[in-house]
Amino acid sequence: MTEQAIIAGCLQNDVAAQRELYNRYSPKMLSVCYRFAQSREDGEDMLQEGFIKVFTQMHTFQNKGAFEGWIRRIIVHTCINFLKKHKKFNESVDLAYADYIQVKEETVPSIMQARQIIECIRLLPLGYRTVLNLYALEGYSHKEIGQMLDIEESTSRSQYTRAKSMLENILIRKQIIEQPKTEFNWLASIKK
Amino acid sequence: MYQDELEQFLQDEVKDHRMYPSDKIWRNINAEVNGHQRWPALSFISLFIISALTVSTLLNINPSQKLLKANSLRQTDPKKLPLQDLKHSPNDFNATAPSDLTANTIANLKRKGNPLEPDLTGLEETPVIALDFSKRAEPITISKTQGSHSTKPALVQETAIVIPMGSLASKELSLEKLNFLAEMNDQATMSAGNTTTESHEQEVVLQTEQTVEPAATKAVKEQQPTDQFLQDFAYVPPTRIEKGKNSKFGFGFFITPSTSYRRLTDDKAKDLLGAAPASAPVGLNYTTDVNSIVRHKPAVGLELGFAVLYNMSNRLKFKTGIQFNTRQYYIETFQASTDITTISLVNNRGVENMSVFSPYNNNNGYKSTQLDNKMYQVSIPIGFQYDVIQGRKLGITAEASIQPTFTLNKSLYLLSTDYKHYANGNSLMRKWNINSAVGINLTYKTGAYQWYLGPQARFQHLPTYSNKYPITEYLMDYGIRLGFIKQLK
Repeated sequence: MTEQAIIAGCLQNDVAAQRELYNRYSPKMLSVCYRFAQSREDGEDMLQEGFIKVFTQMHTFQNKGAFEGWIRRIIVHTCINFLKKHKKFNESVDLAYADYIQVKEETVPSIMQARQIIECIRLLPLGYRTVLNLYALEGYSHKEIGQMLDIEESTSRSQYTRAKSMLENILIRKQIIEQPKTEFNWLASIKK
Repeated sequence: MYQDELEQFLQDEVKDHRMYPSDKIWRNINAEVNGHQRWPALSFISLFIISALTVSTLLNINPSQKLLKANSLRQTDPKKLPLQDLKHSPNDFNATAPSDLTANTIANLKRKGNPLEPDLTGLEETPVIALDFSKRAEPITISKTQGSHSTKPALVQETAIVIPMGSLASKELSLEKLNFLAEMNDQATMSAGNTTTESHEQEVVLQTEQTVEPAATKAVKEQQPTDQFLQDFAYVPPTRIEKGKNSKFGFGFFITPSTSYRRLTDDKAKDLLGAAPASAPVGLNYTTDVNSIVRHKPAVGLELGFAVLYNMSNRLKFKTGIQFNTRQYYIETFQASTDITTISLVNNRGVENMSVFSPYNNNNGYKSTQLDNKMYQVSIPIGFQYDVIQGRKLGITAEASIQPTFTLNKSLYLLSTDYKHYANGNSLMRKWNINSAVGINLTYKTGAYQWYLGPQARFQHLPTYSNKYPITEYLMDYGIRLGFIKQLK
């Protein structure tokens, strides 16, 4: 079934088309949700809410951009709203916390690199993680992130910088990436 | 690593990562977007229950209770209740004609004599006591002058109910009928405000009838079964007839032809193996649902069982026993050259791959073939049966049970985790499992036996295979149960 046929079917509330759309995009979108969520259950709840919006707001898709991108934006906004709604942002996002994070072997299943990286991202405090997800992986600007999270643009920038630093430390400790030679100068400049 | 490099690295690694949501997410979304799916079986069961209720209500009419009700109403206000409401046939009174009744009574009185009636000849002039059930039974008042009776006032108002003479033809009238007629007349008389003298006169007549009844007739009557008249009109006291107490135990047998279905889920497989093609063999069509990859067909199964019941209360019974089950489904596949396939097992150490030989290919081969995944099981149902409706003959019961189940056979095929082959799954099969069953039955009593028939559903709660195998399979059977229960004396 082509993408256009799926869209046309979904506009007519055709269950088969809806199922096809869900089968095609839900695995990627659950991965997105999982990066934002505190648990897999939360991620599935986000996915569910997101796809309900996708199906009910299908008529607003105007074929101007990529269909997957449109779905992804709905899903990401749903994730942010979910976190706000459930007051998940009340957590502390102190960078100093990063020094005490113990990345235990069992918390990051050694199954595959992508999954390992995601688990490493999920070790970050929620605020850092959200900003990092939005900026580095979803491509939002700091201005957009500020509007989405109701924070200053500068706050978004600083949180992202700290989040990235923390993540890099975790990835190095997990031996997913090697410690770069230039890292010292870069980290030093950040810490200043 | 430079800033841009880290971002690029994250995007490259993570952007194509996939996770597979559980089936319930789609069901919830579908329900939210398109409304809840209608369940046809619910309509069927509802229709079945309504039909059973209607039939049991229609067949469970107790005439004696109806008469009792009618009698009580009549005693309260005889004018308001027409006697024709009572169930009877025109032949009810054929046993004795009123003329014969009168003649016999007079003859008997003459033969035996009545100490309370000084002048028997006056009886011939007494008003006729008769019943007309074909007409409205309103008491009528007859005024007459009775000068010859010293015990009666000169003017007596008497009330009688008239029966047409022609409709009665038989020669005999039983004592019970006389009592009934007297009762009817009493009521009519009382309602009309009759004098005590008249009541006394009727009482005298009845006493006379009892005393003068020939012994031979009495003996014959005792031997004869109660006639239709009494069955239809006899007063049934509201007291219960004491029956011999039954034992609290009963036993029964049942048979349930059923259709076996299975449900596959591979969330675990997708989560743990989905994006790791290097560590686990993953099929090309892996992103789709496992149920759409396999071609399975439901097949006929059977449940045979022996049940023991213990009456915990009038309606609730504890039920256990032993049950033999066969459940199966067919696998459409292809016979192919023997190939090595991999079954990935998940345990605490991570993922382990097990290589097995398989001559069955899920996608292609030189000949299509059908595998039979058949299981023979023994289970011990432990549950309850509740009598929802208890009719005289018909009723409805509901039952539910938990069934620890042991699987006897070892010939099952499982799907390899690359979804390409079917392999022997005996070593991974779970021997002990837990099933539950629910059902609703229409029951019918014939003597000491209670037969029952109704839809049953049986569900398997643990996967067919060990927890290591990441594709979970749950079986369910839907069938019609036929059985009987015998209550022990």
